[in-house]
Amino acid sequence: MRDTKTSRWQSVTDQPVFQWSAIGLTVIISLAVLLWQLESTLIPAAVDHIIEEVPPEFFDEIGEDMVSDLISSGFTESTLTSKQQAEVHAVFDGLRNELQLDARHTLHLYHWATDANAFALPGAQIVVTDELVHRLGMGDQLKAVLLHELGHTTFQHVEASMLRASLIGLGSVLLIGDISYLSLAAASVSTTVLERTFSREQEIEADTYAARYFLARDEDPEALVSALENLSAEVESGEHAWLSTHPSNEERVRLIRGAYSRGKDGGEYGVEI
Amino acid sequence: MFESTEALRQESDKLRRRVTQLPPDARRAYYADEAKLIKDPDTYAVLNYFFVFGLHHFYLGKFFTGLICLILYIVGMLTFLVGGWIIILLLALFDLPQLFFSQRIVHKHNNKIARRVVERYEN
Repeated sequence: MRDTKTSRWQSVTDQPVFQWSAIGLTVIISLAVLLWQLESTLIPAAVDHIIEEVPPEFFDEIGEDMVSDLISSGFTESTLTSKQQAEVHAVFDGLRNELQLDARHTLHLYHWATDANAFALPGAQIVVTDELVHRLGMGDQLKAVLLHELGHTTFQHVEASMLRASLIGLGSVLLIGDISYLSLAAASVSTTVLERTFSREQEIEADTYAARYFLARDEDPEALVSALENLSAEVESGEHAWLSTHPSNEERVRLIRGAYSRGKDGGEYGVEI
Repeated sequence: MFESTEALRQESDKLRRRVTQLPPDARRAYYADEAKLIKDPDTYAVLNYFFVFGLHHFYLGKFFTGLICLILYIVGMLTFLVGGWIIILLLALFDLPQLFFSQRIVHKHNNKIARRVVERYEN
């Protein structure tokens, strides 16, 4: 009886259709588990470890190179008056001193077509375009955007994104053995930085950083919301913009306001004072 | 652990002789079955390259070995940072040597299939 059962089972498993179906299913399940685990655990853990091990000077050098390369990417010298530039730098220096950040955090002002933009580069370099200053003025909205970018530099989000892109490239090379992918990975690093493909968590962490500043001073973080709304028109036009990232504008506003309404207890937004 | 190439070749020769002694119709049917069931060592090796997934086991019809490898792989991956890497390493140590002996493993499997089919037609 048992022999008959075994033999019947064997005749099933001997069938190429059965074997290839099992192989196909296994590939789908295995790759899904692998990709999910890489994305959620392994790559972030590796990135955290590498960032801790790599000396800051390495990223400083990359950041300085990127800043000098901005001119060839369509950026030109700032057209803001010396007085305006001095004012923006004063706001930035004030924040840096207040937050006790080291001198590595540097602000650069550039003119970039008519795009209102602000972004962080490796090595704690922050770039703000003239149009953003024109649009937000010198008040709390500019401060909020600078704080958001300081959040990115403080938590080394750009460095993490760069390393993540490099690790994905390296992993692909190991898996598919295509060495040409390395050059694509290298190219994607600069693209990653310029397009600021921060994750949802990184954007929220940077918003939290900014919101936390205002909440710690018993102030309404509405300036951050206003800055988001002020700049949202540009997103709709599809241009490169400060807001062209996940999470959505509405979600960010909801989270910032949620943090404020919860007072100083933190909460969903994780704001601690 | 793995039979020698010479022993496998001798077994193949014996089976070939048995096949030649089959009546013409049974021999034709044997060759038709053999063509469907016989396995290719290169395909086995390529599937083994993704060793921790256990694909090569499914290719040879070893369903339960493949399933155990898949389960261990999933458990190992999901707990990778808290010791699961040891499971993945052990799986790799179990599966990797098979890549270097793929010719012999597949030869042995093909002999087994040939024996089973020839016995069916001899009876």
